[in-house]
Amino acid sequence: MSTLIPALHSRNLNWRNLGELEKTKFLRFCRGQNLRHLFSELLLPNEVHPVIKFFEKRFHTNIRGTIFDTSGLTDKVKLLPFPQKPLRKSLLLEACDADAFRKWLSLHRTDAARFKPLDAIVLRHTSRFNRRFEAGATPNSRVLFRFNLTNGPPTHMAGQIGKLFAYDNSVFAIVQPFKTLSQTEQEYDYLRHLPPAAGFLIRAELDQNILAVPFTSILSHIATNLVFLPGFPSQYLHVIPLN
Amino acid sequence: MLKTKLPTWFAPAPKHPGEVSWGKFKADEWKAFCTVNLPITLTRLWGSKPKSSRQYQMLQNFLHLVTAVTVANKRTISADDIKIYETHMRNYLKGFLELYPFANLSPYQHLSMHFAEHLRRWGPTHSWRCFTFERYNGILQHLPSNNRFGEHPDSCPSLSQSKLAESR
Repeated sequence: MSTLIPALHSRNLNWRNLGELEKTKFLRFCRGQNLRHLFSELLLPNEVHPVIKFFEKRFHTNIRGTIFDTSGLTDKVKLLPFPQKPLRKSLLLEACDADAFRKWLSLHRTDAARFKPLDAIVLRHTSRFNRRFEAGATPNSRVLFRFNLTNGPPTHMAGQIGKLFAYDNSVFAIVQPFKTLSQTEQEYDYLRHLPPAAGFLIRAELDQNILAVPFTSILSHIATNLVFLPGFPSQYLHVIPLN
Repeated sequence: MLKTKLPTWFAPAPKHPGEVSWGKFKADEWKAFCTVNLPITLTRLWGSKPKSSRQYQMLQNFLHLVTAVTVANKRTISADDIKIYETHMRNYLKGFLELYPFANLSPYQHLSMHFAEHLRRWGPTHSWRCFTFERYNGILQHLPSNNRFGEHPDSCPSLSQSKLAESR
């Protein structure tokens, strides 16, 4: 070690102390991280959006380890230019998807009547947290998402993304949730008394009731494993959310 | 493990963990193995056992650790998350001492109890973990060592002896 210390001292640091680097890191980087979290919630007024765009341009999430690491907390999708080309017919919103979205609009916005399905631009895939999210039955479409019930607290549900679309400068997802366990099944759920890292059980069937949620409500991908409960004919999925 | 469906970005753990032919685990593989594969496998094997059985308590103890680590690695973190981290880490260490009375707590296990304070002060670990240390590693790796790094004390016995003599 005695040979290393003089060697470290001899490094060219532009006449600055080595501790200055750490000070800068904690001041700038952690401040930036907090800003990212604030921007990602999308609760700020529209006037702030140009600032978010500037922030994203200046501190791009792909600069690993030099600016703020790859946390990608800002919803990059919202800032991407939306496709302008005419879309194929198969990529239009279907009637049931549009109905689900209208339901969400009526709960959260006052301009629900203004929505027309043709205004929505359907996307094949999109990314958040530097992860790729796809629509359809692919491994990248199974997600954990947050859903606000009317007059109730937000609940976390597992589901499969059926469609992704952009409307009014925001991205939304049509999600088909998995069926939850019945009262009887819950009694045989061996995960319910274990710490959260154990995951949870759901039925391996998709619910017919589809939901429209903002893309910011998609929390993470999930790992799923097919399991059986003794005495029950149905198949179940052991779900572990991936942070 | 073959039945587990994962997103494409997630690096899966080796299919035959523990076998020599698969080599050592990389960091991502350890993460996948401990946070996905082991919880699925162990809960299936031990999750239905009586709560008083040793296997069930070992499973619970392990899952407290995994929960704490998962919360500590979240990309966004709140004051409630930090409390959850503290609770699970304390439960893990308490259970560890009860289940394995002949094992000693390591310094890392002790330091984990101070980690919540770091999270409170500096936020999610993604913005501050290892960054500075990686930079120091880079500086050390770029030092000219004539490709004989670590051999210095042996290659200069006269210097070592003279320093030893001075110290006497």
